[in-house]
This record gives sequence, structure tokens and C-alpha cells, in this order.
Amino acid sequence: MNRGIYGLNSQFATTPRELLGRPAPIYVIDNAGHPEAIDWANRVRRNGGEVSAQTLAAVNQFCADIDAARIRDKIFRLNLFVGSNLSACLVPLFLGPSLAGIRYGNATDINVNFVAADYSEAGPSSGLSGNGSTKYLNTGYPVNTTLSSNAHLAIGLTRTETQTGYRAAIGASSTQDSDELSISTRRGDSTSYCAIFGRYFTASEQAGEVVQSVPLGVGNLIASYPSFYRNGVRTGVNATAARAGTRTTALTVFAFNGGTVVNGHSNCRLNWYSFGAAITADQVLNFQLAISAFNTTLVRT
Amino acid sequence: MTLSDVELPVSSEWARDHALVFSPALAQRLAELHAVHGSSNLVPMPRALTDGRLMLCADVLTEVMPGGLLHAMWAAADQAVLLPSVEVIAWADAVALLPPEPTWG
Repeated sequence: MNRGIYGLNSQFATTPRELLGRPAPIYVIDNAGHPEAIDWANRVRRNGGEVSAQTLAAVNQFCADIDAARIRDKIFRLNLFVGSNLSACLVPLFLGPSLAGIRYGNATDINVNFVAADYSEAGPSSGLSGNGSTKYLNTGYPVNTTLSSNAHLAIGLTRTETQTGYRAAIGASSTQDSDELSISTRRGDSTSYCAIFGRYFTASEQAGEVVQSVPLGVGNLIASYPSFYRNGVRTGVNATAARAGTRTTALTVFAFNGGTVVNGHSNCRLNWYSFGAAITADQVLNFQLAISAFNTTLVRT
Repeated sequence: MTLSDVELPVSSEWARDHALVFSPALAQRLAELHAVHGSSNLVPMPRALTDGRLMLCADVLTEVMPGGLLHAMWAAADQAVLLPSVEVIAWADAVALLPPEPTWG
């Protein structure tokens, strides 16, 4: 199979599509291209999507900003939910703490029941929209990849939950019914903080804002043990303890993976997610600046 | 109403307001078709209802036309068996039949 032709005439060169039948152009690294952005664009192409020049330039800058903030090795998996179509948005930008190192989770997010109309790259409805009943992503990322006391989970929440009960933006339990990592958009019990680093019924193992009577508000939200941050600023309570189990249950997005059953489906809208090691308050602020600049460039809200 | 009564293509708006309900046996057949003709870019995984049946949001029908992520699977299915075996009901009615979500967590 013809895998394409390299071209080096512009910053993000591609070949004419009809030159040799219909090759799949391969993006190449020239002096201005970030290798992780190029690698991601090629993986998107192989997954059946496309990347516009504008999007690739924005991703390129995001990668540079993350490097400059010195937090790249803390991000083990990140998906910005961008690209031309649903297949494109299932390809995470980062699959491990470095381009050449170990990879965590599936090569792409396994899409359970999202359809094309649920996805928008830019504009006022950017990202993926859950329906609170059937749709979620399976990342394959083992919930016990790091200790809970050395973990971060993060999301770009662009539409709030409208359902009651337990609803998860990200979550999985590493033992049956406890020892979970999660960010909830809504919860049902009295100890109902939005980020859990252990047992759902133990307040000391939770952080952030109360989401029992009101849903989690929109924003770039980062749970990094022991704290929770909204748009780069710490908010709510801190956890004082954490627990991590031994199961390798995969973190799911838009629902909670209990191991034997996936439930707690959320009808929120998300335009990015991230998992990895814990990051400091200064690192959170730089992460927020990089995400915010990326979303501003692509006009994503 | 069954899928035999639905004219494709369907609009997203109509599709989101309806659910496809079917038996576990049919769900197994759909899983077999997906294993051969589908990909992880869209896995139509139904949820169990309290009456023993399974359901999907009908918006998966927006992916069965040519170019859709489920077209190959759809084309390989025995339409004569599939269409009358899938009941189409209002989305709200299907959601009412889902098991209650946990209030803890």
C-alpha cells in the first residue's frame, strides 16, 4: 500500500492527494513542527480523520507551551478532542509521559455510542456531548497507573450536568465499590465533593467543590492530589488522605467504570481531558494557560 | 413501531428522541457483526433495561448510511430479520426502563 510521500516545502507540508492514486499524505517534521504534534496528526490520519492547518498549528503551539511549562512528563494521557471528525477526536495527543516512552491505555479512545452529531471541533459547543444514559469513552488507562496520592485527572467542562444522582465526568474504581479516582459532575450523598482519591464515603479522601445540590460548574478543572483547581485557581476543600487499590480498571470518560458495570453516565459536554501524575499549583496554572490559549486560538467554548 | 417502519436516513433530532429496543439474542448477533465489520471508532453497546431487553439511542442510525461508522455492519446484517426485530420507542420511555443510577459515589 502506498503510504504517502514526504513533502518539505512548507511548515506542515502534505503531498497532492491525487499524485499517485490517492495516497495518504504524511506530515513531516521541519524546523518549526513539534514532533508530538506531527506524530498525533499522522495517527489521526491513520484513524480515518483529518487535521486542518489551523488545528495543527494550535496543537503545535500547545505542545511547545506544555514543554516550556515543564509539565510534559506529568501528563500520561491527554485528548484535546479536535480534528475534522469523530474518528479524529478519538485520537489522544499524548499517550504517555513522553513521545518515545511507555504508553498507557488504548491507542485511541474506544467510542461507546457517540455519533458524529455529538462532536464539534470548535465554536460554542466544542467537544463531545454526553447523553447521560448510553455514551462514554473507554480510555484503557489503568486507574492504578499511579498512586492516588500522585495522580491528576482533568477536564474541560463546557456544559453542566442536568441529571441528579451520581454522574461521572471521569472515573473508575480500583477495588469493588471503593478506592476510586474520579471527577463527578453530580453526586447524591452528603460527603459529596467533586474529586475522589479513595473511598466515595470518606470525606478526607475527597477534594474540591460540593456537587450534591448543584452540578459542577463549567471551566478547565484539574484534580491533582490533594487539591482541586478551577481555571488554574485552587477551589473547595483539600483531601488529607488517599487510597489506591490493585485493579487495573480502565478510566472511562462520561461515565464511571466499576469494573463489572459502567454507570453514572453524564450528559455534560467536555472539550478535553487529561490523566497523569500529580502536579503542583504553579504547574496547574501553566497547564491552564496552555489550555486556555489553545481554546482561544481555535475559538472553542 | 419497529425499524421496518423507519425510513432512512433519519434526522439527528428525530434519532435523539427515540430508542431502539431488542432482545439479548439480537444484541449478541449485532456484537458478532461489529466484531467483523466494525471498529473501536464506534462500538454500539446497548444498555440493559429492567424488563430484560436491551436498548440503544436511535441516533446510531445516523451512522448506518454510506460513509457512516456503522455502514459496513449495517450492510452485512440480514435486514429481513433485523428490521422487524427492533422496536422503536420514545427515548424518555426507554430511559424510564433503565436501572436506577447509584445515588452514592
